[in-house]
Amino acid sequence: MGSSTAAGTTIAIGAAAPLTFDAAGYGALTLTEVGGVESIGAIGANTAKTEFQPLKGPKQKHKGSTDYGSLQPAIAHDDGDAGQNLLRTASAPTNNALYSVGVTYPNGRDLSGAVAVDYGMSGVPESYFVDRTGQLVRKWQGPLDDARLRVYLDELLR
Amino acid sequence: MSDKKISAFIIRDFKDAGTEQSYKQGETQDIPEGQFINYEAAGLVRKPTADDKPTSTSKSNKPDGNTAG
Repeated sequence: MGSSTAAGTTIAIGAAAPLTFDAAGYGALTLTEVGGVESIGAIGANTAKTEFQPLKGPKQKHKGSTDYGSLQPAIAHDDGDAGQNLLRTASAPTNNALYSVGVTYPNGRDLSGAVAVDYGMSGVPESYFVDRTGQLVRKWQGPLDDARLRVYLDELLR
Repeated sequence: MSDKKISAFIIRDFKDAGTEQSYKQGETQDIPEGQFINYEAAGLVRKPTADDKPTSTSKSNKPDGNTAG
């Protein structure tokens, strides 16, 4: 996958914990999207480095315990947003309940190319033209010049 | 989560950024169970009580001021 953008990324939260900690368990949850999000922050686990410096010999370094991290999203405060309210409830110091958080990305990896094949793609570059009703009306294989692109787009805009 | 709907009393005005649906304080609406659980945990809705019924159904034929029971 080449470069991508975070535009369109959403964060959502649910008051229930998944029955199983896998895709099926999280997929069964209902999450409420958090509105007014500017950035989500770093996501991912960090593993501590445990060190021991013997009096004799070099410092020894070991892989320590793993911290699955915390989210620090930047959000425009909106008291009327359901997701933000649930986020505030979840983060209250006296609340130890388990919540579920989901982050969706606008694009994903297709390392094997299987998704592209499923969509009928047979070569690169390839262009698809979808009309306003969602119907695939034209498929173009190979490079597409400006003039031809304009013709095809004009057809769609009629 | 099931498609089951639960009657919810709206405690205060709020909107859902995902569904883009807005809710007005004092109304009672049937909402999907999963959403209800989230809204309830956020302190935005609760299950209606007998006292809520007169204000819950604005389209009701009952005159204003009726009390349940």
